[in-house]
Amino acid sequence: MLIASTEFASLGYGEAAAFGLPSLPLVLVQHPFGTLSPEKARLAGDDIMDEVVFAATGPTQEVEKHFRERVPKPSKMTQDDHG
Amino acid sequence: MGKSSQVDESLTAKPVEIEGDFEDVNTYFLEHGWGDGLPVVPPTQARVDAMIEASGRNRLDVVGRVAPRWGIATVEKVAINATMAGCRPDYFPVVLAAVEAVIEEPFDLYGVQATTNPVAPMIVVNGPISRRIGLNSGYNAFGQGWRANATIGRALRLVLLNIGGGKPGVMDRATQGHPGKYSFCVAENEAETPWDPFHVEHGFARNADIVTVYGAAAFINILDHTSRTATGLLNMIGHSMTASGNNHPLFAGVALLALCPEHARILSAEGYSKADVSRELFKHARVPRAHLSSECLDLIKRMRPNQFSDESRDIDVLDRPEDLWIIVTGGGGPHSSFIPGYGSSVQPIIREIGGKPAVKRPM
Repeated sequence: MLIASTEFASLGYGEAAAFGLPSLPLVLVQHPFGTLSPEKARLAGDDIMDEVVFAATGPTQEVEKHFRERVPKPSKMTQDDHG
Repeated sequence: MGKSSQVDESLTAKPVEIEGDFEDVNTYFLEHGWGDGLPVVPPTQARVDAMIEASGRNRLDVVGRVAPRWGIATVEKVAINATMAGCRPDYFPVVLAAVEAVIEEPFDLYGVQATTNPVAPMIVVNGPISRRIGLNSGYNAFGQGWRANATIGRALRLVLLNIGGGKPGVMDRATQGHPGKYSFCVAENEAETPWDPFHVEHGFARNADIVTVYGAAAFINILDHTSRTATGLLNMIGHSMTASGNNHPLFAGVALLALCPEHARILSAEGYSKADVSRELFKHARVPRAHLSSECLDLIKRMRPNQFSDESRDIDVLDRPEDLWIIVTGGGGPHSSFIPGYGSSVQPIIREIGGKPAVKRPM
């Protein structure tokens, strides 16, 4: 499982695809959180807790389906592997 | 555009046939996201072959994996990108050494490529090769006008884009970036430095060909055409290093100072070695606490607790004097440059051109 801010979602999806892990659970926290107070940062953590638990303990096929469906379709910026 | 091989198809570049002229090739490449936005030289088989031949390496030699997409860089794939950048074949050994350097673990290419920071690998070339291939180290050393500087730096950027996947807004998350992300290659002015060249200072033979890569933010001009003494000049340079918003107050790490020959001569004439200069600038380069927000100071306290043993002292830009690396470059005139770094997670890499290949990263 990877937990990232929404700002880094495309980086996470791209790297997961590069490693052949299109169903890698990628749980997203709303960006920005670097400027949140500790109290608000905890609330942001609370917001994703159910999904974190699901990714860690849910039935494998359901977890894979859930996260695979979230992956954006590749764009020209990511799909071509050119040397 | 590269040649197919029966050895390992996963390593070979896939040939592409494009009917049309230069414009058609460039349209095709840009539509596929292959490039930096500028027109590219079509990497025909003949051009790529000439590039590879100049390196003396095998086409399918694996140079390493390039973050953050971890694409496999072979000699052939690097040659294709060098061709696209406009390199001459005799530049290619420098490009290969730069790629080998940035993929070394301590450089943290993943961080450099994926960060929101405006950071780019800056290439510094030392040794006879810089004169042989026509790298500019004089007037406008960081600027336009020299094919070697422009295309070697651009070739590394194309490798980072096309093999490493560092597409802006996708896997390259730089908020604003900086112009050095197109090309950032300079040579030291070894003829004009009053000290040993940078590579000799770091233990290499004077006639060795050396490439250094450094994670460089956008740089800061230091104009000083008034100071006549080392004391005055060091005061000016040291305080030019203290911008609150560069990465060093938070993350320390290595910083780079590019002295112009005139400034270097003023310092050397009073008996200052480069180490002496670093020691003096370390003392000057402190950010007043009043210039930093309370939240920023809280973070510095966590990142660099050594800065809080005495809260009456200002914040050191660097942790140690030896973390300021100095090169001499440029022509006549009183302008030096402070080039802030990314922070302590990114170490500069110094590598001999044509030296032993880097250890390959595992999957």
